[in-house]
Formats: sequence, structure tokens, C-alpha cells
Amino acid sequence: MRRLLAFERRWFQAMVETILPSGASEQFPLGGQDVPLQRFLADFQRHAPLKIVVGLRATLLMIFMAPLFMSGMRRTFMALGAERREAAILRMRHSDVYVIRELPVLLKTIGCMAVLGVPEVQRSLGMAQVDTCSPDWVGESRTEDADAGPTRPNTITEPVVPASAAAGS
Amino acid sequence: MEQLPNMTTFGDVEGVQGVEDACDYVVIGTGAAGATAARVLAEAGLDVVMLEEGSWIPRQSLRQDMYSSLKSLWRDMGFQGTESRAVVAVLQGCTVGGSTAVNSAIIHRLPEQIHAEWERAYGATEHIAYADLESAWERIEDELRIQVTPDEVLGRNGRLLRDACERKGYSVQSIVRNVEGCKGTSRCSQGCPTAQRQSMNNAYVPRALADGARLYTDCRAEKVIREGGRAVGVRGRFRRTLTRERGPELTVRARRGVLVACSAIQTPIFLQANGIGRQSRLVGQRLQMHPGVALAGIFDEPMHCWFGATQSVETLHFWEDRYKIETINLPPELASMRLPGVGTALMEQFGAFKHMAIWGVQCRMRAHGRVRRGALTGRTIVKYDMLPEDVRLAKTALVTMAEMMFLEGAQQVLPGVHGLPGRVSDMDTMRRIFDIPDDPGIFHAIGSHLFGTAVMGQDPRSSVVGTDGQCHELPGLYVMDSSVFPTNMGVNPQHTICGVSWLFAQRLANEERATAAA
Repeated sequence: MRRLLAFERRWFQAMVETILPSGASEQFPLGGQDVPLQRFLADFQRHAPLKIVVGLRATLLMIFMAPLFMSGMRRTFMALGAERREAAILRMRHSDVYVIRELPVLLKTIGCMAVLGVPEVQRSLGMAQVDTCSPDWVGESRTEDADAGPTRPNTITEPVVPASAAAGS
Repeated sequence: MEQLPNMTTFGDVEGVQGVEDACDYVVIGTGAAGATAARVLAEAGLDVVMLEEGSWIPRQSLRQDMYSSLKSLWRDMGFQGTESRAVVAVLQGCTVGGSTAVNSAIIHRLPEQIHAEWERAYGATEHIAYADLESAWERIEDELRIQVTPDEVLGRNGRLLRDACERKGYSVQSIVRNVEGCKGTSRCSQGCPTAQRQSMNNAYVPRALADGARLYTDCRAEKVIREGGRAVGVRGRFRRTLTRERGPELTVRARRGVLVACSAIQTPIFLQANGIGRQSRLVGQRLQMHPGVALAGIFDEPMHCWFGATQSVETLHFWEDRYKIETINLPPELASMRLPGVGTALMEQFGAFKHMAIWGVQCRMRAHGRVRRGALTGRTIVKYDMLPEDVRLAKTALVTMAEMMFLEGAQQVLPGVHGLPGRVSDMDTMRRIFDIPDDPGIFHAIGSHLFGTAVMGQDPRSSVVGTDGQCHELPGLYVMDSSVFPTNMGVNPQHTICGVSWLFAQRLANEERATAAA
């Protein structure tokens, strides 16, 4: 139940890259393709509560199938081009059925955790102060202690105060 | 890595058959209630053992990214939620210090009107007289270095709310917090990286340990040991929260009593697992919250929401109307959830991230939910459905915030309400929220203050514990946390939880002294 199958992992990659595409915006070009999503997914499925992993698998299946029932699509999610994938997720998001519109939200939440948690991405958002090391899951290989929680010491420095934020009160 | 004295972790007991300990009082949970009780009892010279399900995370290991923090500090990685018509995220810490290690350190004394209501309607204040609470709060405020958020770390977001309230003539204040020397990293939810926040992991847990208490982390309490109709100890099991790897059993014998302080969700689960509450049938019932919703605004000028106290300014102007508005600096992973759309449209909005201000509202809703333990799986099931009037309250609060944001020059607000456009540019459109059905599923709510699931009172038929926190059905077992509060209160509860726990624990210590003197 906990371990996603190879095709589910491909769906995850495609769906997160649809929600958070790389190179879509000149101002913010980083997206799903710029972070190791599969490493994140491996870490997530190992540590998340079982009900959430099951919920993620159900979400992937529902989003995969949903375009089959949408007028003008009639194909699975993976058989669609990039633009129509985006349109399919957007239509689910606007559904009047609570469960259907919340499915992409779960995926968006998980995708944002992966993409926006990486220091390089945070820096490109304009954040002045970011961690000096990447999250554990970004690393090439798992260490023995990886499951005991974050272990690498992080350098904590004084926050950089933006001039406008620190302006007199 | 930084370690605490007198602390035993999962790593210390790997390969051991079983662990046994004995003490005067065993305290389950190290959040606001448990750590305060341990601090009072240990100072009184009593032998105290603390049990904590979560891990000890040294501050050098804390990370800025939300996912790492959710894994190491939050219960169910932040995915705990209600199972009802619409999911309400139920956020709780699961680490040494409990939720105080991840909250925004907001301090409020229990409003006198609420205390009076607890007395009038529930007869629940026999041992928590307001004057006694005030004495306890004064001690706590001194020890936790409670102070007003300094202007230097209000951040642009905070100053924006302050200006909006002043323009509208609403009362407004910088938030009082248990933080001294805040550096304004906006990382309260990820664990304070500079340890300026006097959360229980930085304040009362180390203090109790210095007074001789012992702490077992990564250990979940499971069974109350009973002898002669009294609670005389606890059995627990070491388990890594992250990997669910099981360790040895822990048995703690407690000569004087067992104090349960696991929160209004986990306390009733523990009581139900031990067959307690059959008399009143109230264990896990009457769950109350302060569900919150948020509104983001996009401004011309940069807001730099990554600088400043995570929550720095609030208005209690609408407290009588049952809601409270406050600023909140969310990390980008969570703030981005406010941005509507997906794909290219979403990515183009990330450029506006630094121009985004976010305010939240916590509502004193009237709905009652319940908490129960799954019969087969033992898992925690939380049911909570907002009433239509609760949904209308949240709508009103969102409109109030939108009005203030537009007054301060917001180009657009992002209400995140199903049925409204993702971006709203004027108040006429925003007011269309009242045309949408009063369905809790129209917005994403977060419930972070939890009350009432093991309520206190004098009558065993209408309460779970007595007015001193002692369980009616099992002498020697005390509930110290917000489970005993008869109602929600409209302000952040940490200080009240500490105050009530302080008085309950002080009473136990005084009884001990009286017995010794006799």
C-alpha cells in the first residue's frame, strides 16, 4: 500500500510538472523539472501517514481517469498534451463536487512542498535568507540516520532585513 | 548535537528488552500543560517522569523548508484532519514541547467573560479562581519572558494591519508573545532556529529536568496501570515517529498520580483506549475549535513576508462578534497555496510572491465535534462540521479583511473561496460571498486550538474530570490540558493551558506538603 508503482510515479511526475511547470514564467522559471521529484516522492511515501499515501494514490488515479469523462477530452491524463493536462486539472479544481475539486489541491500541496522547499527555488522567489544546505531528500543517497530526522547541522545566521520591511514604524 | 540532561531517546534503548522507572508523578506529554505541570512538581521536590511521543530535535537540525519541519515536528506530518463534509486541517506539534514548539507564541490571558461562563454554566472554576490564575500567569509571564513584539520585527505585513485598523478606528495591538530578542526569521512553524521563543522545549522542559525530572522521548503512552481502583503508573512503547520502528516497552510506576496532558485530540484517545469515560459518555465529545481561514492581498510595494515575527499584529476589535484578525507570515510552500490556478498561470503569480500580505482570522465557532478511536485500527478519528452560522461568521471575517486590505491599497485579494473568482479586485465582487451557500467546503480552514473533549465539572454525569482535573472514574489520574475546558475562548489558549495546569499541579504539590507536614 505504501510503495507507489512505477506507472504511479510517472503519473506523479507528470501531474506535478503540469501544476508547477518549469520555464513557464520569465520571472520565475523554476518548477517541477528543476528538483528531483522522484527522490522527494520516495521520501514522502516512506514517511507520510499511510492514509495520506493511500489518498495520494487515489488522487493520481482519479486525475489520470478524469479527462476520460470530460467533454472535449475523452482521453486519459497521460495521453493529453501539456495544455490540455493543465485544462483538465483546472476543470477538476472548479468542480462543484467537493471531493473532486480537492484532489488537485492535495497534489498541489505536495508538489509545492517539493518544489518551493529547495533553497535555490526560495532564493529565486526573492527570499533574502535561505538555508545553507538542501533538505535531506535532495541528497544523492540516504544516510543511515536519515530516518532519525534531520541530522546535518544547519548554519543559522541573522536574517537579512529588507529595507522596506525594517523601515521605521 | 545539543542534548538535554536526564533524557532517554529511542537511540538510547535500542536492543534493550524493557525499561522500568518509578516516580511520584508521571506526566504524559510535554506541551504547554505537561511541561508546566512537570516544572511545578519538580520544583516542589517531587520525583517526576515525562513521556513524550515525539522526538527531541536540537535547534541546529531545524530546517527552513516546511516539508522537513512537518516530518520532524508535526503530528502526521501536518496531514491530520477532520473526517467530515469538509476537511479542517488539525495542526498539532509532535515533538518535545508539543505545539508550543511550532506555534506563533501568542499569549493571551483567559477572558474574564469566558471564565465567568465556565463558572455559571458548568460550575468548573472551583480550583481555578481568576485571582489564582492571575498569580500563576504573572509567574509564567516572568519565566517565559513574555513581552510585546518589538516594532523592529513587526514586518511590513504587521504594519499594514496596524495601519488598516487605525484608519478604520479598530483597536489594534502588537502581539504579546513568549519570545525575547526575536530575530524576525518568520520561522515559528518550522521551529524557532534561534531558540528565542520560550516554548516548552526551551523553557519548562529543561527547567524540570534541571530540578531532577526525567524525560523519555519517542515513547507513546498506551496503558494506565491500575491497582486498588487507582491509577498507579503507565505502560508505553518506544517508537520512532517517522519510521514507526518499534522499540522496547516502558513501564513507569507512579506513587502519587498519572497526569495526562496530550492535547484535546490525543487525551480522549488515551482515555478511550483505557476504557475511561463510560460513566459520562463525554470522553471525546464536545470538541470545540477556533477554525481559521486566511486572506492574501497583492500590493504594489513589496511585503517581504519572510521577514518579521511570524504573527506580529492582531485586532481584538471583533472579539464580541466571535472572531479575531491577525497577521501571518507563511513559508512559501504554504503561502503558494493561496495562489489560484495551476500551470503557467500559477507560475506567473510566483513573481508576485514578495508583494503578498497574508492575514488570518480565528473564529470562535459554535459547532461541536467529536474524537474517537477507531474500533479495529485504533486510529484517531476527528469529526467536526461547521454550522451554517459558523460559515457565515468566516465569510463576514473574510469580507472585513478584504475591506481593510483594499483600504491599504491592495490591487487584488485572493480569497480562496469556491464560488468567488481566484482574484478579486473590488468589494462588490467580494460581497458576493454572501450569495454562496453556507457550506463549509467552500474554503480551506485550519483548526489549531482544540478544547472540551474531557470536560471538567462537579457532576460525574456531566463531566469527565473534577474541577481539580482528577478523573471521576479513576482516582489518581488527572487531565491537565485544554480537554478539560468547557468551551472555546476566542483567543489563543497556550497561556490559559499553562495557567490551569500550573494551578492543578500546585494543588498536588501543596497536598504533598500538607501530608508531609502531618
